[in-house]
Amino acid sequence: MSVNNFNRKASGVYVVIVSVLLLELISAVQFYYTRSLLEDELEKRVETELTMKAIVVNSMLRNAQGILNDHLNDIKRNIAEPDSMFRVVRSIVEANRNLNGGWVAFAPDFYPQKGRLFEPYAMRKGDNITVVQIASDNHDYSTNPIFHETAAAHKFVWSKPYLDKDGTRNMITTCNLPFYDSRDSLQGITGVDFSLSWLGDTLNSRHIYPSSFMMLLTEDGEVISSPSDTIRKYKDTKIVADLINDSTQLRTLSRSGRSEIIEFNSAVNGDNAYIFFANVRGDPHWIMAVVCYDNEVYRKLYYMGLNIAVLNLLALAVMIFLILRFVRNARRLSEARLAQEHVRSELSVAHNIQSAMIPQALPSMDSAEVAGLITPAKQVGGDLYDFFVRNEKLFFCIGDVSGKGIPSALIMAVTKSLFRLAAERENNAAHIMTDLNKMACSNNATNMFVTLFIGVLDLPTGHLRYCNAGHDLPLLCRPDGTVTPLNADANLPIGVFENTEYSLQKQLVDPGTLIFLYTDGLTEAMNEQHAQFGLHRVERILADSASLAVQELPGRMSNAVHNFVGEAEQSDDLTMLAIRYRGNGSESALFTDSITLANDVAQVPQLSQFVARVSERVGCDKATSMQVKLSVEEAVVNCMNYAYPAGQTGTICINARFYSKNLLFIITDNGVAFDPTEKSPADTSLSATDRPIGGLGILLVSQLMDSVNYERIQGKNVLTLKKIITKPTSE
Amino acid sequence: MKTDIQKINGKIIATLVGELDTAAASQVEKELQPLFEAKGENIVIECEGLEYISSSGLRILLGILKNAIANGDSVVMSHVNDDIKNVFRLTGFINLFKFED
Repeated sequence: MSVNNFNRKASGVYVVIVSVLLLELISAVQFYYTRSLLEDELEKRVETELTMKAIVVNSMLRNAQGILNDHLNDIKRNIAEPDSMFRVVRSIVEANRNLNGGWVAFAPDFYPQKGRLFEPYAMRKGDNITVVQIASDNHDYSTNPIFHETAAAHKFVWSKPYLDKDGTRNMITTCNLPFYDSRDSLQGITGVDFSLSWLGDTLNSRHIYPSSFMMLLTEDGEVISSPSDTIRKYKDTKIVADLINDSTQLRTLSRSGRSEIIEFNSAVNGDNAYIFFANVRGDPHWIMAVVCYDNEVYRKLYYMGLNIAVLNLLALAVMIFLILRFVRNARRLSEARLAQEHVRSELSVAHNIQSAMIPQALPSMDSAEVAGLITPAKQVGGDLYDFFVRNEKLFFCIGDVSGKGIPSALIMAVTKSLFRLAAERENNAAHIMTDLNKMACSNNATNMFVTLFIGVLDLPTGHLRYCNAGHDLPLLCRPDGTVTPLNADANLPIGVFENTEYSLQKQLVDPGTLIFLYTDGLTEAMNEQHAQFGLHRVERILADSASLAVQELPGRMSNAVHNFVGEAEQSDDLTMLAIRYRGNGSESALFTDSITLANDVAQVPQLSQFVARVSERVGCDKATSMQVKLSVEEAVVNCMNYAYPAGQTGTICINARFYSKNLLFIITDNGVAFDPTEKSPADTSLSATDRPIGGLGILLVSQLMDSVNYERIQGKNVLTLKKIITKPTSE
Repeated sequence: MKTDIQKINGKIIATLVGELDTAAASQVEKELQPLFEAKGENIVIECEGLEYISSSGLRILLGILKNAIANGDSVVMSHVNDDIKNVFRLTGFINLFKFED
């Protein structure tokens, strides 16, 4: 059991562990697959974004350059007229709303009439454009390094971004284009101011993830444009700028034209973040960077992972619950089954014990036949009967313990044992009943009671003495088929009141009469229509069974009940006991002899001669002869001494009868009622000093004879001694 | 039923012959009176000729035994036949007396 239980438990644990591992494996595979999908998606999205935005930026830059190129011819055509340059710079700024300013700065002393420096400058302020000559001693563009750089470049030169000091305090960059005369001498530089903050807003007009943003940097890592809408982004833009600024490798990589990725920790919450960056193709070599946050990129994954984890946990919990319940149910079932089997086997043992307690039939007996049957409703029952023969008397009883099942069975066993004990020495049925009642009352904690009928049938004479304690009346079935209940007082069942007095009743039973005893389980057996078997059916079957062997009667009655009951469940124990009294009438004595003596011990020699004569006729051996002689002498002397009061003369009649094997001596006197068999015999274990004088005679009689039977019949004491002659000497 | 009592070598030897039944018991009890009065003498009851004994006979023997035990004397049953020994056995007397053959 413990091993099975362990295995079952262990297999449950294995199932749980394997399930957990499988679920986790599936989740992990799902997680990483999904993660790589998301990564691919991210890269594609970023790549697209970078390409798109690079095109935007590039086109803006090319647009600015295009405007300058377009106006260069205008400048060259009108180079002779300095004042026309005011119109030209206005036209430049008007060409594109994103241009904050436009100018033409001429080489020093180019127009002598305009002084050393001349720089017409158009400036956008809101919707208005104002044009001024901006050069002065304080604003000497010829000293600006970018002027010389541009002058030497012979091509567009983009300045580094800077904060516009005068106007909108925006981040701006300038695009400068030098122009020369036919001798390749510098005539001047035209240029535009390009608003970069505007560019930043344009770049960040759309986000691939809610918090992601885009930055534009110079190849030195200087921030050209960045979103400025949140502190968070501001903090992280610094980090991105520093990272790009610090890493020459990154700058080199960025030139390859492909986007690259680096990771960094967000300054805001320490989240993992990614920088995707790529070169904006062309001049200037700007770098475009997209910053994405891990938690957003993989948020779906996390949600999905969380969902899967929760689902897994739920599934696992359900599975563990089911397995545990299965294991528990299986264990309970097996325990219950074991317990049930245990109880069943014990009940079966109890049933066998109880069956063994009940005698089935008497061994061969000429004067009476007995047969009984108990069919318990459950495996053990509360019904009992018993019978045995002692001193030519058939002691029998039938009883019904209140209730059913094991408690009743215990009481039944006790009651039956007590009956044997009480009837061992006592011939009076009422005395036996009184003893039983006292014993039953003395320890009756459960308040159970027993209806009981006790009968003592004197086999030589057919005298039935009985006592009833609330039991169903036995039925007498005569040879002619008439059935009548035995007239018996009701009396209280035993176990109710300790002081109940039980009455002894008598009835002479004719040879051939059947005494039928039963419990109410017989008459109250119910069929499916709730009709009872009833006394009348019992009586009819008995009347029909007058010639039936007693041994077959219980079976016949039982079959009748089962046929009547049909499929209905047996509700009560079914018990019956049948006794047919045959008497001695069936066999005539081989010889009889008798002698009548006075109540004087001096007559003993005549008795001895009589017994010797009988023994000789029967053919007893010497030892048996002496035993018979001794027994008869003791019994007769007992009568002589006790039957009549001292001094009163009386007679004692000794009648000897010999049947085929039984030698009977029937000793009759007219004296006072005296039952020698009720006297307790001498205690043979005492020492000589303690040994009383009396009691030896009846002890010898009871030990030497096969039975000693006392009856008080019609005012006479009748004592019958029986000796079974086993080895007759005469052939 | 015949009885005989002799004193030999400080022992009392009582010889019982015949059938000691209830009718004979009172006469035998009188004849064996010396055994009830004996003191300082061991008793031997010679039963070779004893053919029968009833409970009244056993009672006499028990009386003799009780007296002897009270005086510190012994009672020995001699040559008891099997049938009579069986009576002693059934009554438990076989444990009270000593037997010799």
